[in-house]
Amino acid sequence: MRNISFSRRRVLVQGAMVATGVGAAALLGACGATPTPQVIEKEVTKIVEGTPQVVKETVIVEKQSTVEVVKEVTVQVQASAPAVTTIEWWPGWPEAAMVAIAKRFEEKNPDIKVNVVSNYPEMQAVLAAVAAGKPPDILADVPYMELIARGVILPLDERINTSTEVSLTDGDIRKELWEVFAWQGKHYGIPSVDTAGREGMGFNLNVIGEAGLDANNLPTTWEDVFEWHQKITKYDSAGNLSIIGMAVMAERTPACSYGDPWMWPHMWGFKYIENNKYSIDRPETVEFLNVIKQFADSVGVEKLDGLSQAMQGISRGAFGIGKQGMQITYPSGPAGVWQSNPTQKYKFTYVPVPASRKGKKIQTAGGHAGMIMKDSKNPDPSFKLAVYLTQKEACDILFEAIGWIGVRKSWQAQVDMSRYPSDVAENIMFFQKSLDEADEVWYNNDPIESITETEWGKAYQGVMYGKMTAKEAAATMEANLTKELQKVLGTSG
Amino acid sequence: MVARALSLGREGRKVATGLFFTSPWIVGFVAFTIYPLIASAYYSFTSYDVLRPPQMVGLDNYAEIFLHDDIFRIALGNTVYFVLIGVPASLITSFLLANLLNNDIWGRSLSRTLFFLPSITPAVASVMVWLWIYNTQFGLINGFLAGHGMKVIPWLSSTRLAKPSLIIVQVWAEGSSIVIFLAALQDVPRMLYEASLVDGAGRLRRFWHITIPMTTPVVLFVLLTGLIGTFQSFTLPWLLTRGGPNYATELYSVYLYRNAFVFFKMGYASALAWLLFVIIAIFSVVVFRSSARWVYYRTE
Amino acid sequence: MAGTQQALPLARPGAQERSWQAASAAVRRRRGVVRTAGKLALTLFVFALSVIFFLPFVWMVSTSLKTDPQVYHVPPLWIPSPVRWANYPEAMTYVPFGLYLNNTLKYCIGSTVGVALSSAFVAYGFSRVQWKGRNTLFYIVLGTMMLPFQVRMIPLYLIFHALGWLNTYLPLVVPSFTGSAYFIFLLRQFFLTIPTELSDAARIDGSSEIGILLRVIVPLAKPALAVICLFNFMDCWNDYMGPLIYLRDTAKYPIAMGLEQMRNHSMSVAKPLVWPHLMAASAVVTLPIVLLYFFTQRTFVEGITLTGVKG
Repeated sequence: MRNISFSRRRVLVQGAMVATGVGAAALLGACGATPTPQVIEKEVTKIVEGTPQVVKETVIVEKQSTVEVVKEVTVQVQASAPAVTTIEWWPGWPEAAMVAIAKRFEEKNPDIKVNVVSNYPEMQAVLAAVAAGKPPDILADVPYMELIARGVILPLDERINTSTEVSLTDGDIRKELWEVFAWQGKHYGIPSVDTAGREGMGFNLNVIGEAGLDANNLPTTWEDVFEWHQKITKYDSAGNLSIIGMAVMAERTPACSYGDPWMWPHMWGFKYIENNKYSIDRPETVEFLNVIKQFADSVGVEKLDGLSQAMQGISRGAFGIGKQGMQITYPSGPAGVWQSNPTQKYKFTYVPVPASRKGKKIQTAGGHAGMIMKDSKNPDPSFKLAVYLTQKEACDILFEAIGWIGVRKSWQAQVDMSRYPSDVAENIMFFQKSLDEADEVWYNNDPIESITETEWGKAYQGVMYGKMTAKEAAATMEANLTKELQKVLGTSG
Repeated sequence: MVARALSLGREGRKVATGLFFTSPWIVGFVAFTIYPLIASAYYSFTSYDVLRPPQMVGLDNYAEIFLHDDIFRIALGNTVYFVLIGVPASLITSFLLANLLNNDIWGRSLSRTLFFLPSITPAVASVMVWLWIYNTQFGLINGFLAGHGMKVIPWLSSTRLAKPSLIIVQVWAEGSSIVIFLAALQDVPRMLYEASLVDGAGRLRRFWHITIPMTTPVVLFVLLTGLIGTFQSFTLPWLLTRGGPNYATELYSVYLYRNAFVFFKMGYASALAWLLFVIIAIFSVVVFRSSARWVYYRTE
Repeated sequence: MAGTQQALPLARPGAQERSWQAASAAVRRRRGVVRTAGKLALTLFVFALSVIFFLPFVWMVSTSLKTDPQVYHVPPLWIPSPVRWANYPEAMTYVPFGLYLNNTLKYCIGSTVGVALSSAFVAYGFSRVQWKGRNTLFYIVLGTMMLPFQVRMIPLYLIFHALGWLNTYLPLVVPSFTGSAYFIFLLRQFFLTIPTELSDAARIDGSSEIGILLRVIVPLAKPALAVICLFNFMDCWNDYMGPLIYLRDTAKYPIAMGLEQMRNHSMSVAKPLVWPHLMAASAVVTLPIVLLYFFTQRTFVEGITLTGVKG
C-alpha cells in the first residue's frame, strides 16, 4: 500500500460540511424553541493530521433552551481514494536510479503515480505503442530529433515560459543544451539526464609517459596527435598489436556500424546540416575522412577493428585498460576508466582540431531529455516529472547511483566530488566546464539522425577499407541524405 | 456424423474431416496472420514511419530497391552466401552427429546433453561467449596464439573471415537439428539393420541404404526450415557484429530491421520483406519439388 | 498404447524369420570383445568432439567465477583462483529473478500445452487424411514462415491492442493454441513415416479419426511430441521480443527480460555490472533447460520403435 502523507492535503470539504450542518441545526432549532433537549446529529468531515484516513465525526447537539451543548462522537470512516493520475515513464537506463527517482517524485506529488517501464526502450516498443495509440507519457533515450521532426512530441514553450522552476534564459541550464532539443523555433525537451559537452580527448598519462612523451605538452592538432600515435603504437614479436596510440573510431563498438558524425565537422569548423540542408560534400570532409584513413592505414584496418571488437563490454575498451594512449570519449569516460583501472592516470581536454584551426577549443552540446508525447493524456504531471529530473533531489540520486552530473550549473557548483580522486573529478567536470570555456559550442538538429549515422558509417568504413575515396564518400553521403530528408520532410506523412 | 447429415459425397466427407483437423490453424491464420500479411503488403506501397499515417508511393519502394539500393545487393549477396554454405554445413554436421550419438557408448545421455547445450543457451549469453572466443586481444584462440608468439586471427574484424566465423557459430548452435534427427533415427526399423547385418553389409552401406532413406522425411524438414530460417537470420549477426565489418555480415534481415526500426522506413522495410518472401518461396518450391525424387514416405 | 497392432509391413514370414534371427545373434556374439573396445574408442571420440560444443559453455561458467580483472587476463584463465562462488548470489540481486522465474513458468507451460495439442491435431489433418486441397493449404502454412517478423510485428500488436490483450500474457499463450507452422510441419513429417496400414486397420475396427490420432499416432509419435514440447518451452523461456513489446509492467517480466535488464546496467557506479555477474546470471537462466533436456531426453531419444523388435 502506498504511504501517502496527508499533511499537505487541502480539504475544502471540511468547511462546507460544517457550514451546512450548522445551518440545518439552526433551522431545526428555529422551528420552535422547546425546553426539552434536542439531539441533533450532524456529520462533519475533518482531516486528522497524521492519519491516512478521513474522519467523519458525528456531532451531537443538545439544545437546552438556548444553550447548545456539543458533544462529539468520532466515527472513523475509510477515506475515499484521492484523485491520482498515473503517468507512464520509459526512462531508458539506468533503471534502478530512475525507479528511485520516480519514488521520491511520488512522495513529493501524492496525486501522481509514476509507472516506470524499463524496456530500455527499444524502438519496436515505442513504434508499436504509438501505432496503437497507447504511447507512454514521457520517455527518454530515443532518437529525439527524429521523433520531434515527425510531430509526435509535445512542444513545451508555453509551460516553460509560465514555469517558475525552469527557464530558457537564466543560464542555470545552459542555452546550447536547450537548443539540442529545439526544432523550428520551439523547444521539445527539458535537458536533464547525462546532458553535457559530449566529447573530450582523453590521454592515458601512464601510457604516454612510457612512450617518453610530455604530459605537459599535450597535442592539440590532428597532425601532432598522429605523431604521438606513431610513437606510442607498439607491436609484439609476431606483429600483433600490443599497444596503440589512438584508435580513432574505437569508441563505438562493434566498430563497424556507426560513429558520431557530428564531431568531425565541428573540429573542422562547420555544421553538416543547417536549416534542413546538408553540407557534407566539401573539402573539409575530404580532409577529415583522410585523417581517419591515415590512422587506420598506419596500423592496418583489420587490426584496428579487431581491437575495437576485442574491447566490447569493457568500459572505454582498450583505452580503459591501458592498451591505448589516447581516445575521444563521452562524459561518462573519466569515471568509467577510473573504475576499470584505478591505477592509471588520465587527463581529459578539448578534442584536436586541424592545423588550420590551431588553438581553437571546441565542444558539442548533447544529451538526454524527458520528452512528452503529444498524445499523452497527462502532459502536466509529465511536465512536472521532466522538471523534477533537473532538480537537486533527482540529480543527487543519479549522482549517487551512477556518478552522472546533474544538468544545472547551480547543482554542479555544490556537488560533493570527494568520492573521486581530485584528478578524476576534474576530468569529469571538464565536460561541463568546457561548455562555458570553449571558443565554440556546437549542436545539431538533424531530422534523420539515425540515417545520417548509418550513412556516416558507410562513408568512413568505405574509406578506411579502401573501397572508395574520401571525395566519393562525401559526395555519396550528401546525395543520399538529401534524398532521404526530402522524403521525410517533403511528404507530410 | 455431420458430414453424412450434409449428404456430402465420399470426397466431401474427407475434405470435411481434413478441414476439421486443420481448423485450429485456420482460426489462428484468420485471427492473427491475415491482417499482418495484408497490412505489410499494403505498407510496401507506401512511405510509412509508423508515427504518421502512411502515404501512397506506388512502386517507388520497389524501384528504389532494384535500381538504387547498393546495400540491398550486398545484403542479399551475404545472405545467399550464408544459406548456400551454412544450411548444408549445419544439416550435414547435425545429421552425422546425431548418428554418432545414436551409438552405444558410455555416458550417452551426458554426451547428448553436451551437444545440445549450445542451442539452449540464451542468444545473449552465446554471443558474449563467442565474442570472447573470437576476441583478438585476449580471446580463447588469439590469447593462446599471441601468448605463443603467433599472429592473431581477426575473426570478426576481417571482411573475409567474418562470414565464415558467423557460420561456425551457427553450426555450433544447431543442437535442435541434432535432437530432431535423433528422434527420427529411433523410428528407423531395427529389423532392417539386423537383416542387413546378416547379409554382410558394412556400416557404410547400412548408413547409405537404410539410415538415410528412412530419415529423408525429416531431412526435408530440417533442410527446408533451415533454408527459411537462415534467409531470415537476424539475432546472430545483429548481436555479434551488427552487420560489420564494413557490411560483410549485413544480412538481409539485419538491413530490414534497420529500415523498420532505425530509419523509420517501415514502408520500405515492408517492400524488402515481401521481396524476401518471394525469394524464399522460390527456393522452397525448388527444394520441395525435388523432394519427390529423394524423400521416401512410408505412407505412400 | 492399446490397440497398436504388431503389423510388420516389411517382415518376412515364419521360419525364415527364425533362422535369420538366430544368424544375427551369432553375428553379435562373435563381435562381443571387439565391441567393447570399439565402444570405448567411440566414447572417447564422441566426448573429444563434444569439447568444441560445450567449451563456450565452460568458458561462460569459468568467467562467472572470476573477478572482473581476471576476465581480461592474457593468456586466458580457465580455472580462476580463487573461485568466486559469491558471484552467483550477487548476480541474482540486480533484478528480481525469483519473480521473473515465476512469471516465465506461468506462461511457458500454458504455451507449450497449447502448441502440443494444436500442432498434433493439425498435423494429423495434413498427413493421415487424404483430402482435396490438403497440399495447397499446407503450402500456405509453410508460406506463413517466410515473411519476416519485423513487418508483422506492428500489425500484430494492433490486433492484440484491439482485443485488449496488451500488458497480459495472452498474446504469448493464445496463439499457441492455434498451432505453429514449424511444429505442424515437423509433426507432419513424423506422422508420414507411420505406415498407413496401421490407420486403415484401426478404421476397419470402427475407430473415429480422433480415436486413431489418440490411440495410434500419438503413442508412436511420442518422440516427436516430446521434442516440440521441449523446443516450445525453450523458445518461450528465451523469448525476449514478445515480452518487450507486449508487457508494460516490470512486475510481469520474464527471465529473458531480466537478463536484458542486467546487460543495460553497465553504467552504474554504485553497482557496476561486471562480466562475471552477467555470465553467472546467464548460467542460472540456462540451467533449468539443461536439466529439462537431460531428464526428458529418454522420451524422445529412446522412444518406441515401430517394429518393437529390439536387438
